[in-house]
Amino acid sequence: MIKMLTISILMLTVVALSNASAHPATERYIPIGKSPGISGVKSYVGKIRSVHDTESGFAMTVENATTEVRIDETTMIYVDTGSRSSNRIGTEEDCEVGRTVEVYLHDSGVAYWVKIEASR
Amino acid sequence: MFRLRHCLWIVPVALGLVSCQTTPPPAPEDPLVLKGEEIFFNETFSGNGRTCGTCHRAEDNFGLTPAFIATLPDDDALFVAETNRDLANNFENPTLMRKLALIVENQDGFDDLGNNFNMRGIPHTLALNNSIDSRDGPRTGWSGDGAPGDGSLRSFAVGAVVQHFPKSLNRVDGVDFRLPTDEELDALEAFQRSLGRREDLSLPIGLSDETVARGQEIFLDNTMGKCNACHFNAGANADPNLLGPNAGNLNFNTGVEALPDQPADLTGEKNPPDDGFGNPGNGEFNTPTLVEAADTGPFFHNNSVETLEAAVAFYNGDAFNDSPAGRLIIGATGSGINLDATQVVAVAAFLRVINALENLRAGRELLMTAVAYEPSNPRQAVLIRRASFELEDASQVLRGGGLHPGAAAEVESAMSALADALGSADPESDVRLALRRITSARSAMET
Repeated sequence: MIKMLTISILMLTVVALSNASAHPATERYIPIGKSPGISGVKSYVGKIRSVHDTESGFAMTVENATTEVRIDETTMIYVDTGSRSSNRIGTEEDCEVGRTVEVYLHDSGVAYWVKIEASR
Repeated sequence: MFRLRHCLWIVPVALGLVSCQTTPPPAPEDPLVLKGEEIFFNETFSGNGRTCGTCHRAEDNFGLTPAFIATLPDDDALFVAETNRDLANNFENPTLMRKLALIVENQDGFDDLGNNFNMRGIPHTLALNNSIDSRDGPRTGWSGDGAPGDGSLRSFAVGAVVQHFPKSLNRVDGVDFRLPTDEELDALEAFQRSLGRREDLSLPIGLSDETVARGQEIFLDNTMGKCNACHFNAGANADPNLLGPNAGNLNFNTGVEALPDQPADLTGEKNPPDDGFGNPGNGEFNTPTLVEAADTGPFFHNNSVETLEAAVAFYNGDAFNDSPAGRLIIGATGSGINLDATQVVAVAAFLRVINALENLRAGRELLMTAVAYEPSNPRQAVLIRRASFELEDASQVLRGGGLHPGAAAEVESAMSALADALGSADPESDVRLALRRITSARSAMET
C-alpha cells in the first residue's frame, strides 16, 4: 500500500510538469483568423492602436473596445504575409500601429501567440 | 439502401467493457462519419496530391509499414519528394521512408529544415476516441502536441496539411494548399473517432492458453511487469487508482531515444535526436494504446524496434531503466522491470491474443454492418474488404507468435468465406459463415 501511494505521488509530480500544448510550429502557417478551435472562440482580432512604451506589448482595438496585450519571452510572433510569400517568425518591431493582428491570450494578459499582418 | 431491421444485429460484443472516454463515440455509419471518411481518403486540400489516407492506410491498420510501402508504385503520392522538384530537399528522406517508414516532422520549427527535424513513424489512428484525452487536455501525435490551434484531434488535420500536404516548402495557404474548413474538420474528427475500438477493456479477461493467461498476470502485476500503471487495461490511459481519476493519456520519457544501434542511425542518414513534447522538448512521448500494438509495428515513435517481443523486452534494458520513467518505477517499487525471456514472450503472447480478439471484434462489427446494406450497394463490399483486413491481421498476429493454431485456422476459413462473398451476387450466406468462424475462433481463445 505504501508503495502504491509512493508511486502515485511520484507520478503525479512528474505528470504535473507536463501541460497540454498545441503544435507551435505549424501555427505559423495558419493565417489570421483560421486557427482551429482558437480563432473566433478564444482569440481577439483587431488593429494595433498603440504600442506600450514601458513594457513589451500593445493596445489593440477590438470592436470599438481596447484590449491590452502583453508580450514576454514565451510569446510567439508570426507575420502573416497573405499569399505573397512564406509566413515568417516576427519580432516586437513588427507590432506597428494600424496593423491587423490576431492575439491568443493567457488569462494573465500575456499572449501565447500574436499574428500580425505583414506591412505593405 | 441500409436495412434498418438489421441494425438490431449491431450489438456490442460482450467483453465486460468499461468506458473511460469523455466524448461519446460516433456511430460508424453516421452521415458525418461517412463524410469524414470521404475526405480522409480523397481530399488533397489542393496540395501535393497526398490525402490523410496516403499515410494512414485502411489496409495497413490506418498506419504505414515498410512492407506495405514496398508494394506501392513509384507514382504514389507518398513519394512526392521523389517526383516533385519543389519538395526534393528537406521535405522527406526517401531512404528512411522506404526502408523504415519514417517521415519528416518539423515540430520544433520550419526555419532550419536541413537540421531542425525529426524522423518519426506513422502512428495508427485506431481507438483515438478513448486514447487521447488527459486531464491536461488532448494529447495528439507521438509527443502529444501534434495539433495546432487548441491542440485537439479536430485541429490535428490543419497541422497535418501544413506539414505533409504542401506543393512547396513556402507553405502558403491558398497557394501550396488550402486549409480544411470547419465542416471538414468536424467530419474528419468524427471519422477518426469512429475507427477501431471505442471502449476500453476491463482486465483481467478469461484466456484459455496458459502462457497467454500468465502473460496477462505479469502485465497486471505491479511488482513484475508493471505495465498496467501506464497502460491501464492495455489501453493508452493511466491507472486511475495510481494516478488519480481522469488522469487519462499521459506523456513520459521512457528512454527510447537512448537506445543504442537504432535502425535509422545505422543507415548513416541524418537523424537528429527527438526531444519530444514541447519546444524545446522535454523528452517525453505519449503513451500508446497496447490492444492495437501487435499488428501496428514497428514500435515507438522512431520505429526503432521491429517486433512485439522486442518492444516488451525494451523495458528490461538500460535505456528504459535509466530513463526518468524507469527511475520513477524503481523509486516507487524498489526495482526496475526485469523479466526473463519466457516472461517477455508471455506478455507479448497476451498482447497478441488481445489484439487478435480486437481484430475479430472489429471484423464482426464491420460484417454486421455490411449485411445491413443491400448487395447492390458498393458500401457492402467496402465493409467486407475492411473486415477481411482485420481477419488477416488476426491470423498473422496469432501465427507470428505460434499461438492458437486452431483459432488461426478458423480465422483463415472466415477469410476464405469473405473472398467468396466478394465474388458473389448474394454474399449474405458467405458473410454469415464467416461470422460463425469468427465466433469459433473467439471461443478457442477465451474462457
